[in-house]
Amino acid sequence: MTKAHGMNNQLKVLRAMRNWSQAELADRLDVSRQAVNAIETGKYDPSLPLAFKLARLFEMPIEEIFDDGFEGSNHD
Amino acid sequence: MALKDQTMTDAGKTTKRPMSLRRKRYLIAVGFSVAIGGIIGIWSRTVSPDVPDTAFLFLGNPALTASFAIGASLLWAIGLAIGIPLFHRAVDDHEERALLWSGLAAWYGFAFAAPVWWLLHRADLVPPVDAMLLFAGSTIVNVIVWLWFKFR
Repeated sequence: MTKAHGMNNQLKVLRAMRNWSQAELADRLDVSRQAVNAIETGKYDPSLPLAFKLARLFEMPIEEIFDDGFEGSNHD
Repeated sequence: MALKDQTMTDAGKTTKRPMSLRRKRYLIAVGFSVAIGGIIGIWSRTVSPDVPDTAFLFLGNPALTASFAIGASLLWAIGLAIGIPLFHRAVDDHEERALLWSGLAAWYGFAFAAPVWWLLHRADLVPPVDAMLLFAGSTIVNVIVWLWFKFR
């Protein structure tokens, strides 16, 4: 799990489960590879539209991909 | 996006992914900007062959011909008017954030330097304010911050 600005995300794990490269995920999201890398390494929190795009792509609720660390926010 | 055309190989590597519309737009915008800069640069060399280099031509304030000054100004202004919307239609969230911060940093750089230079000049402590040096300085700040946010 990657931590950024208090925000954690599962992007790297989800991508690895699908055997996708960063470039391939970037293409599927129509963003740059740098954007995917920055989200994965916690240097950038995506906008709400991009977070929704990720949720649709991985067919998961946003809160299962991103976790702000607030107790009770994780829906596992 | 035509993802069905993509062929999965091993370890997530793919072959022949079609270029996305966003990337095409990005490359067109960058190519267009480079072309405008190139035309101005090459043109400047032909009208001022005695000036040692192009950077000095623009930052060192040697005399320019009227035709070049008007033509290059029009190219610059029209080029920016076309290139900026092209570019901003092609950037993603991540780069947009990099651009916002780099633009702000460039403005702060200008806001620090310009009044200080102007005040010191008013007391005859430094040469007159040079707008192009301020522009060059804030552009350098802009590029450094953009690179930091985009590629760190």
